[in-house]
Amino acid sequence: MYFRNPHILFFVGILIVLAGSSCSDQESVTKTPFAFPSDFPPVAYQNPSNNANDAVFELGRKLFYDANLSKTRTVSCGSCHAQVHGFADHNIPFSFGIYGRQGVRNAPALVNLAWMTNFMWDGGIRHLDVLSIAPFTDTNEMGMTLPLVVQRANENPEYKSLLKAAYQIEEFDESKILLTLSQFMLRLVSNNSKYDRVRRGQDRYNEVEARGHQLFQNYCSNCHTEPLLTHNRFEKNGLLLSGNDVGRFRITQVPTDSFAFKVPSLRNVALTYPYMHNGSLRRLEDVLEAYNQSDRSRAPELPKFYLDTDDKKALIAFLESLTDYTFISNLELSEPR
Amino acid sequence: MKNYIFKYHKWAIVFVLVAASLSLPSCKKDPQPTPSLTGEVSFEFSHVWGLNMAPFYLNQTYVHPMSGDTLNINMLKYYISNITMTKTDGSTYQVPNSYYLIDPSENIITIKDIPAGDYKKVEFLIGVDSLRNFSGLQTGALNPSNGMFWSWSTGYIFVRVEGTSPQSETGIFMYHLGGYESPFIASHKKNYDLGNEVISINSQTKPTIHFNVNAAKFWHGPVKVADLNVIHNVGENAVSMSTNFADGFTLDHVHK
Repeated sequence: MYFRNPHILFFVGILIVLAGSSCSDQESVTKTPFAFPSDFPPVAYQNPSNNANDAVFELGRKLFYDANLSKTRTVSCGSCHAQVHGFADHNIPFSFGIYGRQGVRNAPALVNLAWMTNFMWDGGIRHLDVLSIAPFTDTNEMGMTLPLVVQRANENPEYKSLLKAAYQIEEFDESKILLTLSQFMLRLVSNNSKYDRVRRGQDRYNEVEARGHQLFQNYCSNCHTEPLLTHNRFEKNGLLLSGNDVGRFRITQVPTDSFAFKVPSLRNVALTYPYMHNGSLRRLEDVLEAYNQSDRSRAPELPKFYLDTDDKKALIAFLESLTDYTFISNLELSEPR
Repeated sequence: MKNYIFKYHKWAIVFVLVAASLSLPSCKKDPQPTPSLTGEVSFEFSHVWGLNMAPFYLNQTYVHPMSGDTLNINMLKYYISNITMTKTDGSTYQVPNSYYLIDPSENIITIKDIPAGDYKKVEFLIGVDSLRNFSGLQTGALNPSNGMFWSWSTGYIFVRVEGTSPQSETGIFMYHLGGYESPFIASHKKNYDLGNEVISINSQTKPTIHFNVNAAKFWHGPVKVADLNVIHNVGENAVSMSTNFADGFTLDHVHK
């Protein structure tokens, strides 16, 4: 007999099975699928090849806050999308990029992007995975080329181990950078404001807030559709008399799209001032008064507003209930320290 | 007792064999199709100028046959995609993932793994289909860092032509043609019937289909460098200019 001990053969067999299975199972890294809130509509983001695990998310967070990814190594995504302001800029109309250059539109708040089908004030960007190309390459923002972004990221030894954990690779390429940033941005989910807790029956509005919610549903929620507080389309509000920004027209070249802009989500709106595509209105009161007065001939679909002082107070109380303090203090979304 | 051990032993061998046969194949890829059943074809795009099909090169100064404008093109790039081949029996083969970025120095594309047979028609798109245009991040010819992607208005520049001209107000022209914002669609489908020049594709043949691409055609429509020297957006002008360029594609000859 060659095999004195038949048990060894079982052992060998089990080893072969194990070897075989580990060979076919490339994705043995622990995956914790991030759970999107079940009381929101279905997620719009689609990219079956962009799988996330915690290591990918962590890597994405580091990239988001990495100023080395700008030409002068001074500006990161987080520079103009600050968590304390609901991932909008620090209450300035136009953001500052490299060399102190200023942008031309107010930096939008990055929130609940997984439900968005288009991005930017004119909706020019149609997929989250290509969104970051714009700020990376804009000469007023980060002033880079994608190959240079890759080079800068690969210079950083800290990324090596994270890349290994996230993807079992050693070096970034262009798509890995962009897809990884998507995974961070997908988790910028705000669903724990008082508004959400009331929605879920876990909290109650006071009388003023409740009246504000009623007014909101009368005047605003056609476009700021609940619960995401945007219908993701483009509207004219008749307010915008200054400047030569033609909005959506720039993208479609359809004359009726002139001066239409993306309806922004109102989540954390109390923190994201100043308002409108050009940051021209500083306080929520200013916005409401502007809607009272705006030129309906320039915005035929806008309902007439008759908001008196009490109405405004109530609406503002409601809008303040959209602030999600968990979101703005969630350490997982903060700059790594 | 001895008998029992022997039995046990025998089952152990069976187990090892089964385990090996179950696990090993999972490491291998699916077998490749038999080579003899497929072949390849090349498309060559020769760039020409004007009615007499003068040879076209970048960085040379040409006079436009219609406007008389003096034009020196220093960049000409465009996408050829969605190649479909039709056999003589009418069946079609869509070349999977067929996206190619062409310029005068990279003007030959070779398509491999085409099912063997006799082909009578070819079809392709000048530009990128709307699905890929909008479905997020792409790689290869469609990598956004190839200078053919609009970062601020998602989608590809289907055709990019740049150069200098004394007739232009600024001395330069720069036309970035693309877009799927209805009604401004700047991609163009081309269909070529090979007529008597049916090509046989199999492991022994390497046929080439030669197309002429007439660069002067850009200015056969309403756009003149003197009036409009920059297009970098969707719209009527991009559609008109790309339509004219697409009209400048002709089947020249076939090498079997």
